[in-house]
Amino acid sequence: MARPRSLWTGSISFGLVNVPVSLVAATRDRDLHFRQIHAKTHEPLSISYVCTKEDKPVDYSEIAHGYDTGKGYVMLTDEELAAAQPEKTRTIDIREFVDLAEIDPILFDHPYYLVPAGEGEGPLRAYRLLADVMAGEEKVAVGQFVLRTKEYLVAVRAKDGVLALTTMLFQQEVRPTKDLGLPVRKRPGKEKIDQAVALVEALAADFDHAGHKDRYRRQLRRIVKAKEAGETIKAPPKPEEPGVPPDLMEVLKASLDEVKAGSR
Amino acid sequence: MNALFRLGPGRRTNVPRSIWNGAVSFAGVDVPVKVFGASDPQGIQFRELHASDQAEIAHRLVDPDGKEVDRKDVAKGFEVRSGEYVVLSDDEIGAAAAPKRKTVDIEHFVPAGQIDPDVYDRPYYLAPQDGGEEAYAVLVAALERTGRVGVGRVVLRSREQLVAVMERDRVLRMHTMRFADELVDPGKVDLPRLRKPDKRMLDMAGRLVDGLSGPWKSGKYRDTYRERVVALVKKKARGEEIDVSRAKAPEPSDDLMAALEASLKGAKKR
Repeated sequence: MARPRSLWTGSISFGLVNVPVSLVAATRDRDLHFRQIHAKTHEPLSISYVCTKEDKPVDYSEIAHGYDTGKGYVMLTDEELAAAQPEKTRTIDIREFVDLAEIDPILFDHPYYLVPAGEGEGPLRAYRLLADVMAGEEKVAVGQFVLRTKEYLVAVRAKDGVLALTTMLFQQEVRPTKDLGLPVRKRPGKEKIDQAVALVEALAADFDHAGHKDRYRRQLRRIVKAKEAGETIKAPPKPEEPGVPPDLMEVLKASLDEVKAGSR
Repeated sequence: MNALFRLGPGRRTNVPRSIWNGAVSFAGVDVPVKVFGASDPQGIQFRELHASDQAEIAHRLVDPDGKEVDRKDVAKGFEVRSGEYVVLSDDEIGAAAAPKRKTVDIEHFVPAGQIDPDVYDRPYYLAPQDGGEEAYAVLVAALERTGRVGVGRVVLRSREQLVAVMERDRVLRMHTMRFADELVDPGKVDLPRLRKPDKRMLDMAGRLVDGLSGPWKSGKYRDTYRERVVALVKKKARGEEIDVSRAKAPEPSDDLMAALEASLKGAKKR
């Protein structure tokens, strides 16, 4: 397999051990992509970056980052941005090791892999050592680093001998649930909970990730084919809005009866 | 497409708006909910500027000759063969996800620990709709007691999504999930040949890990880069020079044993 594109190069360090690594994608885009085209000529269109003062296209390499201070922009180059905290732009410094199960999954953002970037025998051994020492344990290494223009909290763990890095949100980037204005409600009656638990257990299964196929992708491909064949594709009807069940107990009971009848 | 950048440092408001209203539906029971975004990434908002004259950059849609194209002349095309496009309207694309009801259809309830967190994509909170408070509380209690997570599907933003519905601190959450074929299998990652470390090194590394192990406290980690960039902006606004001589990258550990020994000594001293 061709080596995937490196998104970042630096090193991961724990204690005084430094391992040069590259960051590569752990996700792949399987979506069907539509292109913006000219409605009449069907020519593919593209985005052009235009300087609004000179009214002419500029190359992407000529673009810098403007920070709006409220009284105009202050312009920063990539080099200046990296200088804000150089060590964090080049090193993932492992601060501690924690149990994976303790981390609230809401924090997990985007998965990547780290692959060795160094040539020497020492760094390659250190990579394997870090992967091996975490293997089998439900432990993850926690650190921070800067990717492009944002700092991320990261969890690094071993998956089949590969160091996997997942960016995480900082706690301050998670909306507090009190903002939702959730009603304070007393616990519902035991009987209702029991009925709901029975329903949950009736639908209990093991998680079969590969068993869940992306039906949307398949359906969209079908629609493209049908359109190409000149068929008429109807706009989807408006979905029905579910209402509030008038009597919860009755619904729970009826559902449970149905589930029981079905499993018989 | 990153055509639009929010201007300025972007003050955020605390008043959330629901992005979808419908019901979580399991075994014929509807729990009417509102869906809210749960994350609020605080990256720095920059405006693209032309480096030479500091003018704002605009994104313009152009044809292959570089001529600007009016929005009304733009269509969505899917390339079926090289250079050959089938045009679809938004309604036609929307027909790929045509739910009968506005529901999150739960198919199974699975043990929470069986889902690797890398499967989770975007997090949302669910709040009860008026009159749905009891059904909401019942589902919360049932998930709490069973330790299970509902796995199902919902059409959000006209795309069918695989989702997990879970409970935490008496609040229902919904995570969109990546499909299995959207994740790269670790076995497919191309690694150079790596020699197995000897037992002594592994023991030392194990002690180092133990020394650095502790309970997880999410609140103690803070983004410090953002503040530094703001400080840098202030400095530059005052006309001061920015030192871009970058900090040296740490030396790769060629002598691994020596690095481990020194680390362990350092860890003990701490």
